[in-house]
Amino acid sequence: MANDKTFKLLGIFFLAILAFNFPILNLFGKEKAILGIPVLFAYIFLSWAVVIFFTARIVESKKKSKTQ
Amino acid sequence: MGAGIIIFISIAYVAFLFLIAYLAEKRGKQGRSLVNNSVIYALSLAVYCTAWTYYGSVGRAVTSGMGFLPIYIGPVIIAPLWWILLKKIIFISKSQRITSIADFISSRYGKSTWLGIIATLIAVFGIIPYISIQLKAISTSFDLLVTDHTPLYRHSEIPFYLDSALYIAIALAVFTILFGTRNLDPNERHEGLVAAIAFESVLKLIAFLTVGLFVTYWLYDGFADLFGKGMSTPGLSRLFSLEEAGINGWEWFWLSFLSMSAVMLLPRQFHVSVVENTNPNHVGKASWLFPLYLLLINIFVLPIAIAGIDQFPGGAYEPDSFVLSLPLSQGKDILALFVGLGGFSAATSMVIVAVIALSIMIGNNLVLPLVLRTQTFKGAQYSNMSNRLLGIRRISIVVVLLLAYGYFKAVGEQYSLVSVGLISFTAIAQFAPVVLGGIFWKRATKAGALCGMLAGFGVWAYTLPLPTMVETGVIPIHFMENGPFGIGWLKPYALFGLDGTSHISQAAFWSLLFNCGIYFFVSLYTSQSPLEISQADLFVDIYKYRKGSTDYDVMRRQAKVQDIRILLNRFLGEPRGNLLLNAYENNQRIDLSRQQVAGPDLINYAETHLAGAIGAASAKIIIGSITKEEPISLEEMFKVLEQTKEIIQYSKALEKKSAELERTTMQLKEANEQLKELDRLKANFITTVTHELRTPITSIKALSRIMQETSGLPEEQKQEFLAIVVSESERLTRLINQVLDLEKIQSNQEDWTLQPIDFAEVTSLAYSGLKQLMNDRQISHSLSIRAQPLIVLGHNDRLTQVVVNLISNAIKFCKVEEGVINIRLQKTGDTAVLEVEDNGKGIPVKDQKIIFEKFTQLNDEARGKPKGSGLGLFITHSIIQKHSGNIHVESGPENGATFIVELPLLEEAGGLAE
Repeated sequence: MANDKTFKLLGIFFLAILAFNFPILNLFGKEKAILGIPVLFAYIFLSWAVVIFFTARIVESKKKSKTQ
Repeated sequence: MGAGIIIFISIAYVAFLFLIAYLAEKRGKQGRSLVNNSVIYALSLAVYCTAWTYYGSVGRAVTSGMGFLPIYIGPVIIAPLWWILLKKIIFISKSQRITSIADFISSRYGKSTWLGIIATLIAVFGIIPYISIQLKAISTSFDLLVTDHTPLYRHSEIPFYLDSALYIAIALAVFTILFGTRNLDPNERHEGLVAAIAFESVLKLIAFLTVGLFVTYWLYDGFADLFGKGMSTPGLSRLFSLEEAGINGWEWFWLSFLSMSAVMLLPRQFHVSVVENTNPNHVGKASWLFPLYLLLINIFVLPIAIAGIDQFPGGAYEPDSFVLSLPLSQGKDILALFVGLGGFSAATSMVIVAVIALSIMIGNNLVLPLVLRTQTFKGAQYSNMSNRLLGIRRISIVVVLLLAYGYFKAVGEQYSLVSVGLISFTAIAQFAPVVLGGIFWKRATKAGALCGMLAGFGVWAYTLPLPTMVETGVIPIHFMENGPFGIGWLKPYALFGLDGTSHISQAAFWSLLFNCGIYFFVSLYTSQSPLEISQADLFVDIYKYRKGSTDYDVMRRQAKVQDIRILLNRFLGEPRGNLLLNAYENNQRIDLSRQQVAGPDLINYAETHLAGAIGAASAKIIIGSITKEEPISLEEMFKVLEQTKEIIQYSKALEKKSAELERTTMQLKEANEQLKELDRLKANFITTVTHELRTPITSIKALSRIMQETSGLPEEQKQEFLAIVVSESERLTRLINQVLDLEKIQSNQEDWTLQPIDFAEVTSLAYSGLKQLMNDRQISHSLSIRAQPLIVLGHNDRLTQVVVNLISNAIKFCKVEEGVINIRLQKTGDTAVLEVEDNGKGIPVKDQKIIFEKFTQLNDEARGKPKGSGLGLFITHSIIQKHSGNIHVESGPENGATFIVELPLLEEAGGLAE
């Protein structure tokens, strides 16, 4: 089971833990806004989308390593 | 809006759900499953989003801004790992026919009945508050739609028979029974249910997005407008900063951790993601579609919360109902109805799946094992167990929903949706150590799991649900403020003095700390039963078993085929039971009707299928009632191990044998080479010998002919010729004698009876025999015998031959004039040493070895033709060997040669001679 896919997904998992926890989150915890959107709000939802995007890319990559 | 319309629409909606379920099941039976689809699978996982998400998130956002998010961040963080974690759990569950999270835990730890019971109790008590908030959400939204404003009464204050929440609970119970307990599926798969849940997930998402868009773009001018309003309103801007909203890192971490475990371990999540899974590969798509679903359903939460605060500054509506009250206050009744329907679908989907999952657990892991313990199932009174099973489930559904109603009426009302929901999350997180440990740590034991879960559950009960009882009067208020018996560090909300964090995070911390710690250490200090070991191996190394499709044969069991047939028919119904047995017969190509006794294979087959219907622990008990069950004892396991060891040894022996064979082959090869060499030498020898024979014969022939043909030959010459003929004939005879000798010595034909003889005497006799010859050749010679007698075990004639040979050799090779031969005989230790020294040309070092070898003859161009046959030394060597002695030569170039013979003396050589 230990193949590239597994390690990539583990990588995303750990990055997500970092990105979605303090102290990183607190960096964006100021009240400033960009284009009227609060920074924290924008940061969380953008990172969220990034996690989805990369998970999808890895999982849907034509399963070449899956059959190992 | 009239209550009648709302009830009618609700019932119509439920009817529609039934239609979907019916169509899905029909298609499933035709083999065109709707549900076997990764998108449907991902949507069914969205049963995670309940009324809590739908109504409660906004309520939470009003007080703590982004603080509602960890509940969804947790699943987003863990989702990438589903491909590893969830898939493994699915593989395990499918191979073990696991029907619930409690079944999973019980099965992992040796199919333990007690563990199943404990896990079921934790799940039931943990989930009841959660179900109660769904009841609360449905009834408040119902009240709101009917009355247009938050009702002035509280549910706890009106008699239960007038309470809409009770009727909602009853309706949900009926609904769930109809959905989930129509028949007993051995795999606990409900295709219709999954289809309906997926539809509800779509509906609630669309409804929530609709209200979000309505609020953001119809009431206001988009996100920027709303957020701008929020940030400019005093007191609201704090919502955009976590710290100002009262969320710290500790709190955030625990909330996301709890939701991480909840999204995988909540009974309903386990049910849809594992039990209802049709194809493990669907997990891949779900691991990004589900986070996407969560993103969509959460993006409008904060805008709606801000809009609610902005629209109802006086607090006319509860924040938990902003989703509904915003369209209502704008007079958008149809929209409000649609939104209400979305909330209804969110709540009902959760209740149905959660209650079905709980009822399966209660039936299989709680009631059945307790009932079964006392009974055997051969009796005729249990003619149809499957109906009884369904009955147990129906009763548990009603009981669970009534308990949830009771909790709602007693305590649920004064707490927000989210705070009650988190109590449930913390309870379910108690499964996380035993499940994670269970699939990655083989050493984890049943005792460890049992103690860990009980400790975690105990701390949970003490720190979370217990304090909520205070208002009901069960628990006195001073208990909370001063701790039990005035012990301050036992205060439930500040256990061990840990305060300054929210109740949830301190409860989660302490309960999981105790849970993990005790689980770990008890596991290390207890041992596993054989069944536990095998189950642990199967869970941890599931991929190994999938690849080799190794069947588990832990139990050496025997049962009557007839008993198995009866059991299957009782618990699964006759058609299903027959179908299974026929399938087995076809698969194994055997005829069961001809067999009396069923082997472990058939029993395992029956057990796994029964486990699908009634859980692993119950199936184990039932099968146990008809089998002569001998769980493998440690001794037997050792025996198996020993057998394995024997096999290993056997194979090692084989390896050794084959190495030996190889060696023998090598030896044979060498021998063959030697034989070939011998053959070659023999051929050489024959050539040499025939050559040697021909030379004298030629000269004899030539001389004889001369004498025959030449009549007038002077007498003198004739005499000379005759002398040559005689000498040549002697040479011929000698040669032939030597060849015969050699043959005799080599073939052992001679009578080698060895007798004690005096070697000194033999030597001096031989010496004196040759003295005349040496005198004739004017060779100065000497014999010195330094010890006498030198008794050796020997053959008199042969030893004489040795001495004669050596001296003759010396005579042949010593200098033609001034020849010197010295013979010395002495005793060195326990050997007699004979040295024969000449002063000839000597023997080069490279030849010193080969002169003794068989059939070799020194041919030296410089010395001309050798004077002998070349057999003398070889014969000597052979004779010495027969006497267990040895012979070698010492020589330097032009320095003469000394042949040294060593023979063991009799006293010491007694045993060596033949």
